[in-house]
Amino acid sequence: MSYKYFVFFLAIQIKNFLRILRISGGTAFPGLIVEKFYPKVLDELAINFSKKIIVISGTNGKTSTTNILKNIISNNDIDVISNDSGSNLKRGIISSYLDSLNTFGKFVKNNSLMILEIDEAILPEISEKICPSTILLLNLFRDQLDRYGEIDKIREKWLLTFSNSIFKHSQLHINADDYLLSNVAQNFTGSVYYYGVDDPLLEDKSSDPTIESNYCYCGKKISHSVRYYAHIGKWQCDDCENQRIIPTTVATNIKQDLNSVTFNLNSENESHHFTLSSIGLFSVYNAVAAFSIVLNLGMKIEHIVKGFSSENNVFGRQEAFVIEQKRVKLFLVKNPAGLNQVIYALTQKNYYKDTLEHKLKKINILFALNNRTEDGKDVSWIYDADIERLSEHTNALVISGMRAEDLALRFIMTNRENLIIEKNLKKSVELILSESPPDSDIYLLLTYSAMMKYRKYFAKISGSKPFWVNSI
Amino acid sequence: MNEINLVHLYPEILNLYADRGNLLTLQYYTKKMDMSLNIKNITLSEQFPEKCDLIFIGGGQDRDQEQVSHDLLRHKDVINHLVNKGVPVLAVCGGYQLFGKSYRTSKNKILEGIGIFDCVSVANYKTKHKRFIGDIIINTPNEIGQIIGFENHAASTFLGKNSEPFGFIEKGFGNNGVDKTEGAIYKNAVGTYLHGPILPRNEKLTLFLIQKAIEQKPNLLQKFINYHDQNVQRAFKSGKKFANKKYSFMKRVK
Ligand SMILES: [Zn+2]
Repeated sequence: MSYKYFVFFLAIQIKNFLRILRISGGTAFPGLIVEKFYPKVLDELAINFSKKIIVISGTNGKTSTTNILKNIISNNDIDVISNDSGSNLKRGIISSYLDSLNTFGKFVKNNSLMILEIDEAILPEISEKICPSTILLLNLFRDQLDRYGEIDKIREKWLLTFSNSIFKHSQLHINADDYLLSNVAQNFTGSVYYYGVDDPLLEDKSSDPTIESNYCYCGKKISHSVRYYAHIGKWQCDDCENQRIIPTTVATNIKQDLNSVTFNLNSENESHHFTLSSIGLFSVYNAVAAFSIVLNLGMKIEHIVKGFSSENNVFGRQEAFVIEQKRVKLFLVKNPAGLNQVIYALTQKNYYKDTLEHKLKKINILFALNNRTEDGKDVSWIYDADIERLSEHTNALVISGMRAEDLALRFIMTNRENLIIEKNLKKSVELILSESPPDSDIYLLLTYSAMMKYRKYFAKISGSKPFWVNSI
Repeated sequence: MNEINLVHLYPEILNLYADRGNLLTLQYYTKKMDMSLNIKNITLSEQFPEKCDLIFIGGGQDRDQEQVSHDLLRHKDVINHLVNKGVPVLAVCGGYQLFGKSYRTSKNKILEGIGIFDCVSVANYKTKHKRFIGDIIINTPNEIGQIIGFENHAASTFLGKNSEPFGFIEKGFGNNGVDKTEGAIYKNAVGTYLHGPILPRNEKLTLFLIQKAIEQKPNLLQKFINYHDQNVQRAFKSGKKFANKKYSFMKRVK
């Protein structure tokens, strides 16, 4: 056995062992071993998966979009290998590559497709190494400034990398509604496919106090004729010719309520109605992004529908539990743009009429804020989110997590008095269940590491399987 | 009129870092004292308002700073006059740099400041591609006492003879990672790199700013309350505990 195969063999054994133990979050470790002892693994991956790699990056929606895409494609009888355990750094990517090898480290998945979600900061380096056939860029928001520095730096790195001619045979799928990505698309050497949303009724007329200043690369201001949320919408430069390109795959006629969102998907001459059992406009963007790719892989809309209605499809996979006749839903929140989207989806104006119903429809919130490395060390972002609006629409409020004191203070600064701080996970759950009225909805807003813990706990008390078990 | 007039400079441009929380805090405390905070937003090419008891300016990316630096020079005289009269200022990060003498951006462009603080700031000074990031604890030599926050800046700031540091480093990097100083204070004007945002968890600084603002309006003097909020003190303690733990403290990173 050569050195390389020995490293692979060892890592695969460890991976299988972790899988048997069902150690969540440990799935990237075998990748770390290979990265350290056989760093050429990415070159090998690039050769073996030549022309069959899809990479997905952007601040929000990577995991959801990867799951949607993976689901549609595998429901069309194509074997998919992906890093859906949520490890989107180099080690996670390498770890997923191990799935394409047999026990002895020999590559055996000649007919498989690889779908990788990749952290924004390492996307350029990885892309140059593995030259993906398809690149999907979702969006850029302020996220974890403590890790990256300003998002301008990421834009510069993306621009530099993707203007390289090594990508001339690749496809770039890009969100037309995010002006921060336009420059990358314009300088891409391969073919570019735009997707987006077209629905003037969705305009967010509130003057979001946290909206970033928007500048074109020419230095002048970007204006929006319609702004959906944050800086996402129909945009144009005040000065130069830079403006939103009309997308070829586009969602229209979007309708939302607290449990689902429906829309029409339009591509070329086809139009099809879809229902997602998840909430928010961000879910529509994730779906349309995935559709843009599968349509350009040569699949027809019927194929998407096939992926859609299959039994364990991700579209129906909500992180929902029913306990004591109360419906509990879990949301991952990690930055102001994402949190605001969840807040707006949960507190839509048309849902709350100025009637008695208004009070009854108030939601119950358990919000847990952690600041481990994977959550972001810096918790100041909670001041950029519309906590005022959340507080106004919230009935029972339990605050938890390592940084509960900071989060509680954020609510108190909105002059909220009625809240409970409980750092113990089990007690925090008991409290939100007892504080919420019968037959009501409870929403858990959780940073990444808190999500891992609460999800596990709810799976235990509700008797259902935690869903990462499927994905290990 | 139980009103404190706060002038917020370039809120739609210098808003990179959640520093809106500072205004919420000032609002929260003035309300407890039965006063209101009247916030006047001033943007590019607008006149500086006549009523001003307190000035706030936040931070932004280099190009945001480039955009406002020239415009801010229009207000150089009036702000200098107000500060010398005792009007308090909170200038955070990029705002702090522009309230100094000059700031050299990462693209080597020199932006002239309004010189409230005797300091110069230089992006990536001997720290190519690195930033000062992490929890920070400083001790001020005055009644403001200990302050906690989070810093994230690529620039180094060096104080001249005519400015005192706002505080001295207990944990973190501060002005330049070398001389153990953080921020600058001149009269009642405070410049600092501390985010978090700084005011929500640091009650004594909030009270200092409000008290100095009230001193601009003798008829409001009896309104000032040395208000202590338990929630704030609890968050301060917890934040300090995290800042003191080694693992929660980050080195300069790429
Ligand atoms: Zn332009």
